Amino acid sequence: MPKIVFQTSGLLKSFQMGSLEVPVLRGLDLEIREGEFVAIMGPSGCGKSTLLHVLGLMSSASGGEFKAWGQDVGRLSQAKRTQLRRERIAFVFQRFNLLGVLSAWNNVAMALKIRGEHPDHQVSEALEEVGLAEKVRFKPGQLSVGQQQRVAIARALVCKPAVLLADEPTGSLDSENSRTVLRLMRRLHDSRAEQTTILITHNPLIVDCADRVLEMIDGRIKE
Amino acid sequence: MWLCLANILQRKLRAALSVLAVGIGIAMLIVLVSLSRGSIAEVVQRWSSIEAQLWIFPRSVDVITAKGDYIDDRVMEQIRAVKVNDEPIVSQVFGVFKASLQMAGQEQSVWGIDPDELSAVTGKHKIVTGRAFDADRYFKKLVAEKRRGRRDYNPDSISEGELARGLELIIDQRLAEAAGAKTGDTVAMLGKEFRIVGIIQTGVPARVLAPLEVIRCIKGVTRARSTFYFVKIRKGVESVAAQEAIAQALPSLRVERTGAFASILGESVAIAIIIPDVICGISVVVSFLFILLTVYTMVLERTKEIAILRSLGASSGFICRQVVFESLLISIGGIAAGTGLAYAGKAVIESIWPLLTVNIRVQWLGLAMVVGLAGGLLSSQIPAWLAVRTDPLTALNVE
Repeated sequence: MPKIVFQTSGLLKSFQMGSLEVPVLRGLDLEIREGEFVAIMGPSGCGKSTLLHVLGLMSSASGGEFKAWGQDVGRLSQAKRTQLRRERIAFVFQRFNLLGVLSAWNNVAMALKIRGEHPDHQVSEALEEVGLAEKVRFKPGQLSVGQQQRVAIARALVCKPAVLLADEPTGSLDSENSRTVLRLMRRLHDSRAEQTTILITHNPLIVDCADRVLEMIDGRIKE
Repeated sequence: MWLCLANILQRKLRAALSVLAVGIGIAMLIVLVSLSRGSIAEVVQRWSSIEAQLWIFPRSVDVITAKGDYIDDRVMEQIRAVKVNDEPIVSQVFGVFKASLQMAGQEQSVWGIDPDELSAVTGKHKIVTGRAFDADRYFKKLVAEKRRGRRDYNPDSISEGELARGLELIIDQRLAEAAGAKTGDTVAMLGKEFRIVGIIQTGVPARVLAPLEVIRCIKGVTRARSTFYFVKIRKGVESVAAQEAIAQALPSLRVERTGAFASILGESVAIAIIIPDVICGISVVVSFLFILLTVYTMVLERTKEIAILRSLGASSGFICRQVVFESLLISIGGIAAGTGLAYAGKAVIESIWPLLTVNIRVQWLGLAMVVGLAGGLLSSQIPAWLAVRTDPLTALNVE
């Protein structure tokens, strides 16, 4: 049985809007194991992105239990959470979030630099893997949206993360590019035996790619 | 490193303006410090040619302008009479009567010297063109004759023709070059036309030297008086002991060692040093406020970039280093630009005012570098703090 990567029990997350407290995650229970490709679907505003940010240690839960690799995240310091994110988690965002002033190669290399690694052949290999070997010197503004998302995927995977979190990775793409990106993500997932992928999407095409599709409604996972 | 460079290159004009602002501050620092200290050092260096150990002047005299009371030359006898342990200590005393003239676009200090004492003032410096003034002692003898052993004489008893023979002076090479003057030229001083009869090597304490009695005569000084005196001490006598003994004998006069001229001058021109220093300080602070503003704006503009770095796992230290490094890059650019501007400023100043000394020394460049780097580091602290506090989720959701 693969190890549990993330485990939440009664997870709560709310945001303060002035004097009003708006609950987003309302006692969410979830268990994700190593090597899974999990898709989380649900209507807008149901808390999918918030869940992804909590799982990615970018945001703290307001209550409940959340364990990552067996560690109680609530007890970890900010620095420790940053370290855990740096060493084991990578993100792919809907709007790519590439650094506009850097070339594709430097965008990918930045992920390695942040980890204190010297970027070398692995950057070119990652870009080659996503089919952008010819575009290494191009800046994001010189690439199509599909190509930009592939650079973002290469950046996420160059560090060989334990978990890849993708927040609507096809949200800004047309159907052709969406299909390409989803297939690419699946292929890359399969080529990395221990990688766990959690993907949030509205895209029905994901059903064909994911091992497990979870539906989220009103801040909870629908049973 | 790439990110910092890429970000700076992304906003070339703003980065260039920031570099220029820092550069101007650094250049002002280097030039003003080099000018104020360089000018003093140059004067002090020139004073070192005087072959006398003590300098005596009235307490009321301003060291820089030499304006104040004159001393009656009878004091020279009192100085010569001073003894330590019943032994005479003075081997030579000579007076200087100061005047001024306008030459090479600025006021020049003129030292009226007895032609027989000239070598004690000029030291090893040689006359490179022409000759010394009053070479045949014509005017000195004339005045001595008019006095006929009395203390007073009437300067009006000297005719224009007799005076005309004494209207001679020598100038140093630097002044000659700055003024484009040569021997045979005439220069107006005290309402008379003086002939330049000699040009002496640069390094003598006053750039213009003239016959003592001629200056006194034109100024209508009936009794022999001087602005200050130099005293040469006998061999084997301690200058401090001699200084104390003379000061005790002449309590109304200030007795200083010529070697202490640098500190006396420093005290006298303290305000002239403080003002440029204050200007330097203000310009440097303004320059670095400019960096702070630039880096602060860069951080505000790049909250999303910072959030992306955060999402990639960048620590607070990594984010902080990016901001600080960017600020330091601007500072380093500013230091380089400032050094270049300082040398350009030196060239401009010395071409417009050739007698000003802008002595850019390695230590001032080092000071500018330290100030530049420290300023860059300090200026980055608020933006760095702001960058670290950036909420990545809010920033990532902003388009």
